[in-house]
Amino acid sequence: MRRWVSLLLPEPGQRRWLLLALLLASIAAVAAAGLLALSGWFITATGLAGLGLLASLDIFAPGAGIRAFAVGRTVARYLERLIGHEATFAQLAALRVRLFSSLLGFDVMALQKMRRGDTLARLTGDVDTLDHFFLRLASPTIATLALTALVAAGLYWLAPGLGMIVAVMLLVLGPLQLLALQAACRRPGVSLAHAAVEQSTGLAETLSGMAEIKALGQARQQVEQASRSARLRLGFEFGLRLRESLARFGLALVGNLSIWLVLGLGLMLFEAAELTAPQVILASLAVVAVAEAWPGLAAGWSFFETSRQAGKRVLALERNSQAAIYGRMRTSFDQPIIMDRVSFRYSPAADPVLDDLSLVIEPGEHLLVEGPSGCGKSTLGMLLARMAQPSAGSIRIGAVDYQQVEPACFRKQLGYLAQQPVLFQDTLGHNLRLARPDADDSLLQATLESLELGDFLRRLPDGLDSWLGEAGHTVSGGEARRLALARLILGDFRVLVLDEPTAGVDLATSLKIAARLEPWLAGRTVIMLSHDPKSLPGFSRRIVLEPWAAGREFTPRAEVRPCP
Amino acid sequence: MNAGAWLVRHAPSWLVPAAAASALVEAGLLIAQAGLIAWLANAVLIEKAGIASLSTPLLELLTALIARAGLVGIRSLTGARASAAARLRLRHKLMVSLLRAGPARVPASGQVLSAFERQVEALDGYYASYLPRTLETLIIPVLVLATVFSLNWIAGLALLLTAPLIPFFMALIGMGAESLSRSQYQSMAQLSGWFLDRASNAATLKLFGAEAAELERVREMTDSLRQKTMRVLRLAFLSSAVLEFLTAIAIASVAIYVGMSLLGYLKFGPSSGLDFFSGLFVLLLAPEFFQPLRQFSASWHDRADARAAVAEIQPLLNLEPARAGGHKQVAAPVHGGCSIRIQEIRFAHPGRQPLFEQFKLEIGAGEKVVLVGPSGVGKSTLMQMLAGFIEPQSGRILFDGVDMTTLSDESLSSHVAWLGQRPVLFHGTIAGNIHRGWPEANADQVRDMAVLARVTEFADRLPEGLEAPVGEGGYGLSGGQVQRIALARALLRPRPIVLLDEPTASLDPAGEARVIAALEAVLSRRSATVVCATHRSATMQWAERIIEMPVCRRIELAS
Repeated sequence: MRRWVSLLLPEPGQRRWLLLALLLASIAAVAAAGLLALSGWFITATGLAGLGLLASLDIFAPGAGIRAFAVGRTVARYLERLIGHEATFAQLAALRVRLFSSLLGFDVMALQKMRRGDTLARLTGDVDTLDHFFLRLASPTIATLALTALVAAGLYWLAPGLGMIVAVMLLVLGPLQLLALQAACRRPGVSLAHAAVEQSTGLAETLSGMAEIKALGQARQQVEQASRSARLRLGFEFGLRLRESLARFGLALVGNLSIWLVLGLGLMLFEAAELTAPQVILASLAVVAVAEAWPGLAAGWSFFETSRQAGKRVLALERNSQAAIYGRMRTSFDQPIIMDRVSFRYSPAADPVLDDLSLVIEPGEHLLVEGPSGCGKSTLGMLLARMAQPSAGSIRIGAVDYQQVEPACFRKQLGYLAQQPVLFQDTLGHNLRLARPDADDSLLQATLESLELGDFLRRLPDGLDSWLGEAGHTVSGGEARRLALARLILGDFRVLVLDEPTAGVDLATSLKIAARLEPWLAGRTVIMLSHDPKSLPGFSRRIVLEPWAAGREFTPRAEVRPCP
Repeated sequence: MNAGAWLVRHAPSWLVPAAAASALVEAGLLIAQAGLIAWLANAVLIEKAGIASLSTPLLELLTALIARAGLVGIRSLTGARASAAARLRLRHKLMVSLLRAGPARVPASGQVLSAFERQVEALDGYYASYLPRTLETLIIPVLVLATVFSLNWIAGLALLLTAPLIPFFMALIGMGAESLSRSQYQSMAQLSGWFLDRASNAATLKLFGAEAAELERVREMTDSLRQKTMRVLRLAFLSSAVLEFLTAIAIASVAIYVGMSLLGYLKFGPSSGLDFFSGLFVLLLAPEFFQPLRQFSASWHDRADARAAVAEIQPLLNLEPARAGGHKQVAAPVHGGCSIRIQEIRFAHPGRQPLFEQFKLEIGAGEKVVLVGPSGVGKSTLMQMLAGFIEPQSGRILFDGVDMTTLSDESLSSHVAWLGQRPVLFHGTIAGNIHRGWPEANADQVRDMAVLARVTEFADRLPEGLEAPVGEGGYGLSGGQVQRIALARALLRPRPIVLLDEPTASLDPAGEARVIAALEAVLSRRSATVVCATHRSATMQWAERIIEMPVCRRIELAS
């Protein structure tokens, strides 16, 4: 448990600001309590003076104190919010950079796997959870503890008994209740997370299987099932809220009992002439202000377990991050790529997608791999781009095994256009510069023109600075593919693996693109994977991947045909 | 309906009375608490009554304090209960609406999932805290003010004078909290969406060796969001500072006014009559006048979130149902098929040319036909109409002479079996999936159907056989294997009409051959009417008639 808390510790540069924010939060809390307490003291004193029971009363010092507390409370609260938020935002940035850099420590294959398994989506949720930890839990708890401790110390100085009441009731019983709440919320918290996953899985299934459900006449059963899982989830959630409500009650109770005890003891001490009347009122009203702060802490603490789980997952990711599954060999890609009896299956139990495939791709060769969908073309592309590893056999560049090539060396020389190319939610320029950070605007424009994207660029409101994707300019499938192609061209790779480079682009446009690409492709090794080669740039050799003979479903073999 | 009214209407009916009652009790208790503290202090400190004689008021104060603590718990619990009830009911209504709309009318699943997962959950704060806080803000300050007035009208006036400021700072809260909530929450959401995009595509970054540059970009991006958000927050925090300040000023001015009056410096109005008891009482009540407002402004973002959520939920609740809905119960013939008569139907997708205009088609009972034609001609639309996923805009479709719109949902589904292009298997086992086709069937019937549809051909190779898990976390089955399970599921119950919508379109040749063999095996045992839409009619050798669907919109076809 200690370990994950380290995630929340501020960066050295931010430490001062966080401490300042906490200090200000405490000052604001103390000023609020002080205002009420001093006001009580003041009117008690004036009441006694008015009745002639108090010989002399300086009304200016307390008046100034009241004004100072009033202003101090406002200013401290405002500054605390500003500085606290600044510091928290800096903390969030640090957490994200840290998580992202450990993500980048994984290799491409592991990342693909995590993406399929929703690990990455959940991690983002975890970071959001940790974001709330400071704002909702850490900061208010620390400020409340500081206030309570200060008031307890002050009362102890007035009369030890009063201080002891606050110390036992709030400084001991308060934190104990919060810890008990955190422990009690652990199991329902885990069950809630499971129920939530189950519910959303069920919902996704209902949506994708809507036609089946309707046709089978099972709509009513489906509604009932959805209601059941919603009730289950809300049941666990309510269990958490019930515990939170109990803790609120418990915290309010110890707070209110402290008020009563301090007032009662104060009055008794007054009778025993150990305290003056204004002091009794001062003490009681300070405790009124302290008691008010405690119940609100329950909300944050009921989610302690969620934060802990999130923190643990983020830490586990950091631990598992490993870069060194590849060798450190550097080699030129101006050599033949040799696939030697390569097989690939997604799991040991599954039928092979590629079986015993051997192939030599000469440098500078333009190879077309053809075949119906599902024949293993994309898998072949992923293997050639080292996005997947063969289940059996090996792939070499010259004499060097693919796995031995140093990652930076590999990625600098081999470019890969995925079947579903990724454009980031970012500016167009940033997306293009991924492959060549130093490219200037005119180079980007020229590259876009060569792919018939000049009109696309001119339509964008901010040109290369236009934001793409969510909350930005939406890009069609064909445009996305051409933008990804532009990015590859900018990368100036020696070897290109292009999976369906012209899918989603109309024939006339793709013919124009093919004509412009050809001179650029000359001299580079190009592997094109396509089920529809009409619109591709010229190729010097063609391979057809065909499903294997009947009896072994989906097992393709490569048949090498001479170029027409 | 506007979002506010919609939200109130969807609250559990007991929430508003319960919140009002608890606000009244809370007001009563806090006034009693302040009064008793002031009274006790006055009795002991000023009038020197012995504390031993004051056990009754002390016990009363203890009771009030315990009751207030209890009320804190009860308020939190009722809020949680109300929110759970509202969200449960809304989820149910959403589900009913979606399933009534059916596969042809339900929007993209991302939007629906977000409505369920995020938007419905966003209502939590509204029902759990905003709505109850609103009632407290309406009730508690009024009662506190009335009490203060009854004690001393000048002190009451002091509080009341800040009251005209209330609309002013309500507006400030409105502007401040609304933009605070919008910008802080939005930029948090934006940041997490943006980060998710980066994280889930980290592989692509590695493909370009752009790791270091992107790390810098993440830093840059969080930083620019921080600056943007802080600009708004700086202003937004002012609204809470104003509240904070007004509370402080009210306490300070009441204290100084009371103090001066007690000292006898103020001689006008009720000041001379002010005693220590009412002075302390007023002082204790002053912060309570503002307390509900402060809590209210703290929960303001719940309102903004809920209103944004309503905008996304509302359209999903008002989806057009697939069928207007009939109530006629007609038993489907157990053996043999139904005749299908399509009478002069018209159908057009919104804003498009009609696909069908006065379209007629007759299919005899037990006849097996194949619909062919280029894509976009309306094959799938016709299949969807026959399955009851959509209804023709005019004209009628008769099953054995009965207008299908008059059939109840149950009767319709007992008439029609439907198999689509990419069927979905539900989480469970292979046998469980087949069983869903006819929950009344017994295990032998399920097994026989699995054999007939050639499911056992591959299932028997799996260690668990027909009990092998499928769906999420189950075996990865090929498209052809899934299709055969779906075929067994659709045809387990003998239904007189079998609709096959491109059953092999997404399969490779080997998979297609197996599905067709399974289809032939099953259909040879049935005398049901079969309608199959396909663009590979040559493979459907069981077909008795091939109907070419022409592109022209006015067509007449009869057997």
